[in-house]
Amino acid sequence: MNLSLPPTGGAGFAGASPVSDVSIAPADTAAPVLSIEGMTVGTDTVDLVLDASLHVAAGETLCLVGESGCGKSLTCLATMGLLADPVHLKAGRVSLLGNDLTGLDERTLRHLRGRDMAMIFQDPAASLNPVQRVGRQVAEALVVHEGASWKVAMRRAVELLDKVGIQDPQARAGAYPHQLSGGMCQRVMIAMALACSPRLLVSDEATTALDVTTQAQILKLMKALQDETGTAMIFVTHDLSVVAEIADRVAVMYSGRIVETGTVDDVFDHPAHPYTQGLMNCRLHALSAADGRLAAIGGTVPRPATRPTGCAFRPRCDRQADPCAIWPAPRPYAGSQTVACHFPGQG
Amino acid sequence: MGDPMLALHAVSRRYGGKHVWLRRGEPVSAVKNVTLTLCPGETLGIVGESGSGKSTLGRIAAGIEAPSAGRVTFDGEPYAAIDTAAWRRQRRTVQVVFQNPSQALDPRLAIAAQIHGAMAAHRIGAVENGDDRTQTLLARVGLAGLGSRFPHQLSGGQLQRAVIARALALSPRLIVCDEAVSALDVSVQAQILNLLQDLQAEFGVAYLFISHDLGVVRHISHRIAVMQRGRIVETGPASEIFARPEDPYTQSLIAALPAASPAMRRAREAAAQAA
Repeated sequence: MNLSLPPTGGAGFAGASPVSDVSIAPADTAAPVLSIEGMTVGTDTVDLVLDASLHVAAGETLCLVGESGCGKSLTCLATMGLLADPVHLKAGRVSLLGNDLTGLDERTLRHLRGRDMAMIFQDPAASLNPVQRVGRQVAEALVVHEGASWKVAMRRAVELLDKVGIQDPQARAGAYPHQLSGGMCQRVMIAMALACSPRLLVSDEATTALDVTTQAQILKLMKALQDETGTAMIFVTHDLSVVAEIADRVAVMYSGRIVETGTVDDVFDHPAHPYTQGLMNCRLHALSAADGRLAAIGGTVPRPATRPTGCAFRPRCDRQADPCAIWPAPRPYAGSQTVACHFPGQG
Repeated sequence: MGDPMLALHAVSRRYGGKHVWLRRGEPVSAVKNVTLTLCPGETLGIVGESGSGKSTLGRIAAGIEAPSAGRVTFDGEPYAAIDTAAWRRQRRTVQVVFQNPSQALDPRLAIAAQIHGAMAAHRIGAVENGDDRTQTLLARVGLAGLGSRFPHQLSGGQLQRAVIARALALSPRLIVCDEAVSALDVSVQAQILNLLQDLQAEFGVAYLFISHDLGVVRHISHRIAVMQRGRIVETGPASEIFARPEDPYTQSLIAALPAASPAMRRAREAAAQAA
């Protein structure tokens, strides 16, 4: 799905008043940092995310897993208030620390983004401003959201670059994005996202474009920073082994709907939805390689406009029967799991 | 597996250097002194990180790029000079499947016409045993009845099937797959890997399979070569490379692999703690 995104972080804030007068209520420690209730996102004619409900607690990482076009990126963008016409929020509630974000105007949202919630995208080179030194881009968030002077903010930026594992941060702060590798650029994005210690960090395929050794470093860094700051994290990926590395809980999406949720251990040990089972069966891991034919899921993901009624996985499912023509409301399943299937469990 | 079909002898490829106007600095060596062989019906996997030279190596093996030094032979004969008539004839035996199928296909032509076009270019008859060869090929890759579709009407997995059908139309003996399944969703990736393996069993085609994904390479390859900064640092049977990696770089790649399950992650973390 190609959506043009409005600029985030950095230069996008240049026109905003320097110190935000918008504040959100102090954290109720028991309440989730983010909760999404019954969210539907789409255009006037077609729904792209249907009735999604999620919650993430402080210090917790929720992985959103699914194939291209399943709505995982749109769920993130809707959370951040970054949906662009013609896609919009059609129903539901998104609340950050108990404050409803859905009715807020763009100006208010702009104050929250980068300060209380931040997002990291797949392609760091495209997210950074190519004609501005990276230190200044990190510092800008502090100037805009915390009213810091440029001098103080630049000093903080160097500290942040150091914290995300960039060698010789003083010198690197003066570099332009094209002078840094992909992994380094992603570290800069993380430094920028964490500059104002957000309560929620949304990461959309943030390690997908990186080499395996760089990916391992970035995952380790994000986990370490989360342990330190207690940030709640939504981590979008299509890679189940990244999920195994970083998730506390998992939500599996298929064709716009969340079909299964649960703790990472429960979902890996006994996936309940046939689609989750299919994903688990066709993954390839170099250390536990399967020989012979793979258990591929037949068919293809339906386009949103031609999504079957009821359970959208129905045409690809070997368990499909008459009840599947009606959408199976998510129900509890062994332990921590919920599953949206009439015939959950091992097939 | 008998005599090698494709052989690269001490192949190197440099970019840039003294002949290019205003280009400063040293020439860049993308591939350095690589020697490898590939037998008929065999799959050789090439793994490495971005910039390791694996795509350049693939292009040299496919004959669409000439090495700066070294020799490439196919059935003992060197590749003809690029852009000659002999070279064009040789291309029939070696085909390439790239990462992005939508860029490999002409957006203005229906896929059946593109497959037919490939055969016409090599003067291969469109009819075989009374059947339309294009339709037979489309059915073989799982696209029966979709020949009249244009690329924008097909999904990524279907497009890659069309590209594979077009490559197969020339009955090649070697297909260089450069990140051929990397852009596909996991469930579709599994379908394409199964298809590639079935086609190998049926037609005896050999694959030079280039990927950054060690899981995919291990699954499909008989042998694996690990590349780092233009050199091959280790080669061996697929299972050996993962069970007993000898080169420090291979070891670091394997150590960086994310865990297959949360249980494996905890086992690794416990082992790291104990060490």
